[in-house]
Amino acid sequence: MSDFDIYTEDFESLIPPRKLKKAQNIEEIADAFDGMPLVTPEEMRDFYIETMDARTGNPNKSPIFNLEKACRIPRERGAMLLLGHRGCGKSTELNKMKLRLETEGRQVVMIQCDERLPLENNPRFSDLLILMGEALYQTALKVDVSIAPDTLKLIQSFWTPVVFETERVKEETVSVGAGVEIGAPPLLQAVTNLFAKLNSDLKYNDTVREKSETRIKHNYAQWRNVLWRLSDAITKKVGGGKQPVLIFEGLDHLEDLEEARNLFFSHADKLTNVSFPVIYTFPIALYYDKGFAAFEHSFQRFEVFPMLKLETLDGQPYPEGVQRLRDIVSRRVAEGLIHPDALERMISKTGGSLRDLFKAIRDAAELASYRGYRTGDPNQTITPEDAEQALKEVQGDLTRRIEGDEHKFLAEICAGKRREIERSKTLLDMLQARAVLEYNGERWFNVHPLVADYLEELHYVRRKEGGAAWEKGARMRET
Amino acid sequence: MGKGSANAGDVNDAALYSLGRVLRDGRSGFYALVASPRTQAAVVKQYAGGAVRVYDFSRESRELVKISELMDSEPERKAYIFLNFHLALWDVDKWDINAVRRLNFSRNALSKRNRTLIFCLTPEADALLNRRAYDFYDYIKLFFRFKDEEAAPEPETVARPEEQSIGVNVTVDFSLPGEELLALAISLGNQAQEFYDKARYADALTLLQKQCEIREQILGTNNPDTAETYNGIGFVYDDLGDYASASEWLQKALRIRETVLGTDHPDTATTYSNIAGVYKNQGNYVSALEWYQKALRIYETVLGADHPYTATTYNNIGLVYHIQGDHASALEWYQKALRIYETVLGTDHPYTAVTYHNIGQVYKAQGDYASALKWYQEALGICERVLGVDHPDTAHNIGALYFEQGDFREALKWLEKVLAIHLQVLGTEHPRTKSIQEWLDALSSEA
Repeated sequence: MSDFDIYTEDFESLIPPRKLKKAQNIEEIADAFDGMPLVTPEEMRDFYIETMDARTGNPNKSPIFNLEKACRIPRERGAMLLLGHRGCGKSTELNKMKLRLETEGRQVVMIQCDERLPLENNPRFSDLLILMGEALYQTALKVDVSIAPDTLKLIQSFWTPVVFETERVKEETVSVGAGVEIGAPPLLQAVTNLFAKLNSDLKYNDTVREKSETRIKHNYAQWRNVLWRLSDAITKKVGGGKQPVLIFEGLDHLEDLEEARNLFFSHADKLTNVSFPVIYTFPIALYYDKGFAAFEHSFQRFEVFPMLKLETLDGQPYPEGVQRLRDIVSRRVAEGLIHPDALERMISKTGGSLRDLFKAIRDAAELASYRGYRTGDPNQTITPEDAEQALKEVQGDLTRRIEGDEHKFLAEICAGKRREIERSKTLLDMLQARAVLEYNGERWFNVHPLVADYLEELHYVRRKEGGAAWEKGARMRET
Repeated sequence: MGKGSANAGDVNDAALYSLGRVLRDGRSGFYALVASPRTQAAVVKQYAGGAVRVYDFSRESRELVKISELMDSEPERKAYIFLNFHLALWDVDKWDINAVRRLNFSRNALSKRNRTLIFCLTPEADALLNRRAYDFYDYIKLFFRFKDEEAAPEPETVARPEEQSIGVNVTVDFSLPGEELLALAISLGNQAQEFYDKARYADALTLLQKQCEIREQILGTNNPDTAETYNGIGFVYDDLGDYASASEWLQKALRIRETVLGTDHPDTATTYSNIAGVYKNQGNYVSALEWYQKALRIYETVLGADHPYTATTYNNIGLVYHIQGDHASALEWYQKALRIYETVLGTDHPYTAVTYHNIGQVYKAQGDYASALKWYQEALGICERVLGVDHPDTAHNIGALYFEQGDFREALKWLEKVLAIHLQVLGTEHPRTKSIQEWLDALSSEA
């Protein structure tokens, strides 16, 4: 669970949280391959496989390690970006990094934007800055920092007009969570209440969000001052110069690129002006946007989290990548439940996308399970035929996203004709749709193997006999 | 291409099995039940009232937030089925893209609660989420895809009363009140559509003419509904090969539609498109393309680039190129149409079949018989499944294909099928029936 338990709405659910376990029979496969990131130390111990070298092709190159290293070194500007495909394993790696940093005694807060922010409106830069303040405030309480009254007063005077002027009618009672005991000093109590109110307004009260944006826009320096003071106080308390680390998760889900562009490009100055490490996950498609070059310098660093690759750039098989995927699968399913040929096929046809591989495995298990029911023989395993049929399903999902001229665009990448891919809307869309995958973290693309098959079926692509699963990847023009 | 011709019963059995297992074992996560609303209701009926909470978006509040509110109010309940979930994503007359995004963005908050959430989607909503809410879609653990069939019995509560079937020989009693007559006009139109879909063009025409009488008398000759009838009559004349009459009726429709509805109304576009069709049939391809483009401009702008009407126009433009021998352009337009059809209407729809058929035609023209046959058979598969008959054109083309390859015996088999349908549908005197009869006679001697 996050460090925010005290203020996220408590659902009082009696349903216990997910418990990941290795599948011992075909029925358990769907749960074992649910595709959710690994979170707890136990999950990491039982299911985590180191894949970074097979992603970058270089044991000494790791985007996550680079971020982690940067988190340890205090800097003037600490904002960083992590870019990566959906479902390629970013969240698990970030969770793993969080656990490592925490064992050094650092305070790391994972902020789940998709849970904390309003769902019906575009996230605003001010939302992120508020969440940042709240995360630091809660961390300060957690590590027992005695926050200077000046800082508390500053927070109070900053937010009171926004939060309470807009809510004249409603008398809110805000419950006080752990960290503030009943009978806490009135000022601390007031600020805690303020944050609780802000926290809920972020999600449900658009008027307050709008006012907050204006407030931060016009008084940015003041709010930055609060953030800096809180982080300094935490660093001092923790000792050893260990700054708190904030990770914004879920921003890469921004569907609308225009929105993401607005959020990041227009407000980069404010989002990056932090004196402690902050990592934002970022939609990979924006990396290929023309605007990216102008804004990347605002960040201390940006890292691209690549797919696991199954081939080298010149089309040779890359056994290390395949082996890692086998390892990941074997951690989650008992031996013998998946026919080796079925597994090989599912691995090679999903192009290193863990999410697609997991989906194929789940679907194949379902087919095997139904066969068991039909034949009365429950001891089923995933056969190559199950795998083939499941891959068809995955292929259907992927190819339904391709429209009109995008077929030609993809066919050109397949045919290797376009070694220099221009930054275009089509490329962005196809990256978002996972029809094109990006490898090695250096703008090297391939069409998803299942999409390539589909293009061939439609006669967009003619494959050489006995050739690789798809033609050589194409490189993006470096500009 | 379509997903083959798996038997609907088998497909549904497998889906029912998976659904039952998920509920029985209390497996958490997101699941999608993809089926028409009718089948959704029939399948879900048996689970209502038990440990599973069934929430029907067609009967209760359509707000997405209901999902989390329900879970908040029932801390112990594990499983939920959301019937007609597409309605939570629908805004009056179009998809509510904000709701789709909201859903996409809320997947973590929902999945964290570790419940079993089964979202019942229409195939169209399934396609929408696949394309517009990747993140949510990726979290769906399993899909239970149902096909419509008798095996999923229609529950009485959602059953639609069967419209009384109207025979071709219906007589209109003009002494009835206007409202009743107008209601009859609608029924006549529906029945005409059914006849048309079964290629019973003459019968369709008879009913449309009766509809025309009613509407002209009650609504007048400058009313959009009357225009709809004029348009329909022109459309059917076109299929009957009477192009002069077709033009005349379509122009009548056009005058009303352009004046009353305007030149950017989808109905006006439909008449443009039908006029284009007549030009095409008359061999005037330049005018045909010109009028199709006029229609397309409206469809693309007003209905959007993924609307079936837009797709139909793509298909029709493809056809004009095809006839002119420009195979590359034809394929390109057909594929554009197909993408929309397959996505929006699914792979079991007559329109999809038509485009499959057309693509087959292009491959045939290029001499790629193997591909042609593949596409034809795909088309035929849909016709058999959906319409319950062999489509005369597709069967005809498969026959012709065998003929060109010199397999006269196989050709004969198919053409006999075609003749039977033509005799039944168009009668012995229709020029097409005659030409097939002649061809068959010649072929019989060869074989």
